[in-house]
Amino acid sequence: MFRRRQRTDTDFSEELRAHLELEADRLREQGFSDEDARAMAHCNLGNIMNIEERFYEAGRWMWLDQLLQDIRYALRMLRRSPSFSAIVILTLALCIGANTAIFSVIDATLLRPLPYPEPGRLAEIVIHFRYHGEEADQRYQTNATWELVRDHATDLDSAAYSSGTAGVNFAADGRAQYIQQQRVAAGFFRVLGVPPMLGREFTRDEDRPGGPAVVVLSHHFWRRVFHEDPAIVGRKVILRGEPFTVVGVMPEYFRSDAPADLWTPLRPSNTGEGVSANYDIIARPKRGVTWAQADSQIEAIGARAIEQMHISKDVFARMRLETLQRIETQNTRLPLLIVWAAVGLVLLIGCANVTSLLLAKGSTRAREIATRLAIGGGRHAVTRQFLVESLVLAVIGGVAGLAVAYADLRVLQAMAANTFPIGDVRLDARMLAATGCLAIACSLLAGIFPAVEASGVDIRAALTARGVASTRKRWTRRLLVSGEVAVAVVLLVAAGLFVRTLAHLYQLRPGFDPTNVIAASFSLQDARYDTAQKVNQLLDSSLARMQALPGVDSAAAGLSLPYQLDADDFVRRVDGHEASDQQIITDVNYVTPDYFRTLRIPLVRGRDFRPSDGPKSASVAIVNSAFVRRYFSKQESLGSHLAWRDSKVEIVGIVDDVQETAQWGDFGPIGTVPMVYIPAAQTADDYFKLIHTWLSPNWIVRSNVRSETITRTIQQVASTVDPLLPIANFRTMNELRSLSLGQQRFQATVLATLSGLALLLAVVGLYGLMSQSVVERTRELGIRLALGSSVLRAIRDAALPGLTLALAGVAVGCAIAALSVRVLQHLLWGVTATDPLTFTSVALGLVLVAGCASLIPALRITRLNPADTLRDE
Amino acid sequence: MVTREEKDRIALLQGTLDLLILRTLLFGPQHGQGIARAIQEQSDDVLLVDHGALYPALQRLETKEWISAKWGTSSNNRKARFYSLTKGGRKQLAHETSRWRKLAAAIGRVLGPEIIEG
Repeated sequence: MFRRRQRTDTDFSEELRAHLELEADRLREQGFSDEDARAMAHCNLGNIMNIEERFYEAGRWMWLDQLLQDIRYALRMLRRSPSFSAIVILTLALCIGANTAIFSVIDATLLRPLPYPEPGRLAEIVIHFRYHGEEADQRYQTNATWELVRDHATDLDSAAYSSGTAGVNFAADGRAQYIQQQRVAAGFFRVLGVPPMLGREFTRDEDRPGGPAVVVLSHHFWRRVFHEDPAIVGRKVILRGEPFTVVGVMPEYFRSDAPADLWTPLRPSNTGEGVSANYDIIARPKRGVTWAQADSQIEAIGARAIEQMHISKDVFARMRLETLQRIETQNTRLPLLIVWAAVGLVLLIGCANVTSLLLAKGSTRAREIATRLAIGGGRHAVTRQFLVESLVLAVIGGVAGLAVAYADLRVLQAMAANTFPIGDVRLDARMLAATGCLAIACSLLAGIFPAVEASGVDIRAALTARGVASTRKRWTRRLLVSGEVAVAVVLLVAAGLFVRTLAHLYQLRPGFDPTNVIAASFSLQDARYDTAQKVNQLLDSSLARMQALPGVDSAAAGLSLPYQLDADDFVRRVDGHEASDQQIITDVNYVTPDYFRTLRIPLVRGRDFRPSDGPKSASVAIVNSAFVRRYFSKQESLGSHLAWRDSKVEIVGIVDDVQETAQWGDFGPIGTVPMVYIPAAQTADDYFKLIHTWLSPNWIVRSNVRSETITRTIQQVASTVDPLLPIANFRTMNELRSLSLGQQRFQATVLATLSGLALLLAVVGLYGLMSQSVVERTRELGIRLALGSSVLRAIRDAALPGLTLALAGVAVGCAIAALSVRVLQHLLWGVTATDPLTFTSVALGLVLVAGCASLIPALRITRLNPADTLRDE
Repeated sequence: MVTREEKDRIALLQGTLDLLILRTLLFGPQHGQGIARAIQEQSDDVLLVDHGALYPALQRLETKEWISAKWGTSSNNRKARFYSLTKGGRKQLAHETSRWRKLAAAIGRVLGPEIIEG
């Protein structure tokens, strides 16, 4: 249809010339003079240029031609006003770039389907709880529940697994390293739909307590450690202190819910971890079974499991299927969506600003447009021209935006590393498409109104009068600027709340002395440390050596440290007024005698642990103040006994609270959580074994030596005590705090940056509007000054409209913010969603900034000379 | 050379020029000026071919591939672009001719017998 024309313009012109010659020849034959013949031939042919033009138009895609012409014209216009173009392009680049970056994060984490076949049919089995309007999905299940599902859910192919990874020791060629292991049941890979690339996955026989030690390697681990050895299957490797047989290698693209180096059998059991809800279950409806069918079967099976849980009557509980993607993103979804909304609002402000700038530009071009219209240009052509101009701006802005997005992503990734999983993010074709769509959407959003506005110019008024902008136009710009201020207020309030949350968390009293302490963590999920005696031998000999190091104040070991995630467990009060059969939940931490002294956690009452609290002496425990506050309201806690697992322990001391991260309750990211400390020397074999499958214990050393020196010496001590026990990492207490507040820091930083950008854009918009209006009113103000108005009065009159606009925007923004901050409720700590301080300071701050933005242009009046104005008249 | 008064000449109806061009080319290749002359002569100078309209029309027909063109030399040794009928052009001519005949006959019936004014 749009076949390229073969013939050139010159060929056509030549044909016309040939025609003239032939016609003239013919006329000469008929007896006309040479001169007459030529003239008549010309006359008969008519306007040659016109014919040529018709030929030219017929052969071309006219719209493309006009578009190219419009683009050329647009580029010329942009070059002619470089500061205007730069501001618009910069605004668009920042907004589009931020949106592309955030969208790529959202896309990678929330939108892109999981990388398994038929990802929509992959489910996680959850128990849905409803209690007084609060709803929650509990994903963790007991072994009893897993066995029910495994044996009775005939509509589903299912497998249990332990979500996330745990650090374990791996030894090859006499060198030990700390790597990440995930434990999964037989059938895990089959349910996901990804078979191993080499070998096979675990069998039911391997996936039972005491089963053969086997391992499936990830592709990257296989490459890194075994250099892609194709004969790896069947080889033995030293993992967790014992030989494991490699049975399979997963393909390169495979990933589970956590970055695992290798997978080992889950070995679910009805003792140990299986007693409590510690397993996840993934499932896939079998071929030919619908989701609804599978779900109703699960509900029926779940009813039996829930019955065994003895849940209180007023709690509604139902087992159901939830999509795996939703479960894997349940913690990141809300924060990311909030960031997405924020960045979208920034884009809106940016577009409003660009619209405003284009409108202003349009009104200064009224004369040009009117001239075009007056000499016969179509109004459509003007609209098209304006749209093309904004499109050109948006395309340039979009390209610059890609660079901004790339930089933004780098920053986001660095910020989120280790703390806030944002997935495998990269700029690809999807991102390019998203940016392209954004740019076009921006150009339409920002350009359509000015374009329509411009084509509607009143020719006579524009050509005769001195270009006084119509009031209608001013109103739209005013509305836009007020809207920008309102949106900026919403963003600033949200950012303010997040920043206040972060500030609150950072200023929480640590409860210990975090300076000069280094922590080194290591894995004891190891066959060589499968008894309490072996663990304590390791701790004793390593601590004795560390304590003897020069510059070391004290050294200790403990399962978890302040700010870290603790293990929780159930205990029971067995004597006194508050004795009860009721299990109470608390964090539990095993520690060596110098733990409190090393961290300088103050002892409130009673005594510290002593080296004499050994396996043969009476079992003792120390609790923290939070534990006493929560569980001992009526009786003396000191001297009371707690039943914990198989032992009865006496509370011999009370220590001060430190900030902890709990997996239960409503303590926030960090808080003072009830805690029971147990001496490591009195901890039983099976508890060590159980707890070490999840958590890596720590050495802590307080010293006055430089941290590089102390880490080196700790490393040396560790390798003398056990050369095959690698140290996972060294951390200071401040690093531990940063790690546990990663999500809050991410939210606060991103929102603060975005709202700062929003504020800047809104103020620039207001300033631009006020400057233009002062320029436009120069004549009027000049006359007023000449007639005796005072300068102050004139300034007030010029600045007031801007302040009014800002006040309206602030009022509307505060109202919207008050209605919408409820969404943030679950992400805020130490501050209410309607925090008056945040709202007031945002409102006052904005009014102040807006006041400056309107006053500065108004001050130009002082430089106005009334005499000049009058002479101009 | 002008054998008739200007007022007796009839400007071509929209669309008929294409038909006449195709018809003229049935006798063999011809250049633009030749086509115009042929139409004029064969119609006893009744039909007026607007030379300005001719060349865009030729271009249109060429684009539709009803005629093809190549540069050649005219009888009086001038360089000229010669057009000839293609297979598609012949088919189009047959189709258009019968259509035109039907139309002319129909209009003739509507107008009735010719009234000769004194």
